[in-house]
Amino acid sequence: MTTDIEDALTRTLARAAGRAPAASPDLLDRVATRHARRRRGAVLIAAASVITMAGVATLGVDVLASRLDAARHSATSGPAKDRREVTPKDTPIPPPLAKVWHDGVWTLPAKLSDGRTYTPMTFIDETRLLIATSSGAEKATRLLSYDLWSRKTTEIATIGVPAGSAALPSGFTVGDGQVAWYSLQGDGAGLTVDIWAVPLTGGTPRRVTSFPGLPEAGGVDRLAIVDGKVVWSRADGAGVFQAKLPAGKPVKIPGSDELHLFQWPWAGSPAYPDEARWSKANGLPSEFTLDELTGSAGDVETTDTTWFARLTNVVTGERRDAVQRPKAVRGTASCGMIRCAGATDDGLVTWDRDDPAPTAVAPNGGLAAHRPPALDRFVTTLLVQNGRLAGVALRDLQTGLAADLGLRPNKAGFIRTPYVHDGDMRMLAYPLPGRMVVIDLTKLLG
Amino acid sequence: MDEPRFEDFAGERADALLRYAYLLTGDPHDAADLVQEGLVRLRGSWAKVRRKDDPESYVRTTMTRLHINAWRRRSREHLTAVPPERAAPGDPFARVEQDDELWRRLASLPRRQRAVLVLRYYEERTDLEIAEILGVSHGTVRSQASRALDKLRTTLATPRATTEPAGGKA
Repeated sequence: MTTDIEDALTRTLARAAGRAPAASPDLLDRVATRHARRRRGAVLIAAASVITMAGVATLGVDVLASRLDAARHSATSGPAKDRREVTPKDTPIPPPLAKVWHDGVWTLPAKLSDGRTYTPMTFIDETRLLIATSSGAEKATRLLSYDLWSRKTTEIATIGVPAGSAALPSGFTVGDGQVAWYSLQGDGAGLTVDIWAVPLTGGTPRRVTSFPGLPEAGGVDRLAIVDGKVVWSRADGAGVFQAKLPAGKPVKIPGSDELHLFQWPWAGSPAYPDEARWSKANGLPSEFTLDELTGSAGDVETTDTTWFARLTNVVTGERRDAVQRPKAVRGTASCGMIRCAGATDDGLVTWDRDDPAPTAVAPNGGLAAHRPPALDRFVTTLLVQNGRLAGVALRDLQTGLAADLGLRPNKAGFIRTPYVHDGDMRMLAYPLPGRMVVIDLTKLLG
Repeated sequence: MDEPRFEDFAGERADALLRYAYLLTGDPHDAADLVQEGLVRLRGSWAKVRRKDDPESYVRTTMTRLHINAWRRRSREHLTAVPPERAAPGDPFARVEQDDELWRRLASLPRRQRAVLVLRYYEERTDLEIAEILGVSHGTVRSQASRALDKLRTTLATPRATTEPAGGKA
């Protein structure tokens, strides 16, 4: 039995279909041109959601592939969210990281003293990291404090992952002596987001607040602890919210529609998608995952996007918008509080939010991750040799200094590049064979 | 028998795909872009798809998922233009005006909810088929459809204060 509204919908949609445009005469030519362009061995940059350790949804990792064929092998790394094509011109390889920066670069053992692997989550302070270890068998994540000097760990909490969890704990952030994160429970319209917190000194995690999730996008894209409250933004652009610690109801911050948390109290748009949520939301069958990876929609999706081009102080209402970007910049670019970065045909350039005059930083080599310049200074860029992806560099936009991070493609042609932690804009951490490299970008400012 | 050619398929089905894309997006330009992108992806997978699958099903599923997964945000920004088709008072076809209003209100739905309605009431797909296309559970399809219908009922019961020009800001 149908209702009036259902009958009306059937009529309405049928009538609207009659108003649909006809196919353009050159549609097939356009399809052929775009298809050919994507197959021409361009360097494919795929920012994918990757669970770096079993059981911990944590640092997203950008997957770079040098060949389309190689991209097919990356399906196990998760669906791609974003990609674009860049011309594979060769890039000078800068000196190794250790030859460029000394202070602030920590080379740590790959495993803890108990043999467990771990993932650095964020800096707690100058000398301590928040790290997570997990065990697929235990379905739990252990949060620990890691002393960079003594390399000793201190237990903070164990997070159970109950049956029915829609995603693993994500969004770890530190502030006010607490660590907070969020988890998802349920499915579809019954999806619930829980935000949790526990003192850094250790204890049992407490639920700070709960609210309905978004079937398409999870719920939270960025989270922070400030001034005795948890603040977060919603993946669907519904705004920036806050809840008092230790427990409180979600309260929307007035005037924050369409904004995503950047660095409190700044929020902006457009925001790059949260990798964990994107992965979950896409949930594509494997054959579509393969096509998502190799179909390379990125030159459409990412054209002219400047991440966080618009910023608003959600406390004072002050705006800092980058209304223009250099005309020569193509594909996605990204802005920090002051400085933006993007690629032209001639290489990497930077410009200020309020002045779109570009300054050349490096010949060739596009951005390796669509993140704002960390501390308005640092970006990761691609290194290309013989038309193939060869490595990833850390570059200082202000001084022009650059270092080779030491990452090399695996047999499938991929490099998993780390990106700077969203919350602290400070930590760049990545594993190399037999060791873990952690960079404190605040120590590189000079 | 000759192998089916991508060009033949695309040439024959382009207009039908555009109608579907237009109902999904509500915008003729977005619809054209979505069809083009769907066909590019189909072209890249043609060898596999023609062996294993129905190309039409493949390209429609691809378009639907692309659209839902934040592929181009432009159409979110505005209500869709509708040619003025005002019915005279007492006209037996007065419901045409209500249908136009319903078309406008569809633009206010989240993309997934709108896709569920298009698949159900235009494509006449079952909820199980819709679940497969969207890659979600059967229950999610039902709840999304229910929410969408409730929202449309509610908004249609609330007259708009002013008549917006076609294509005006949402």
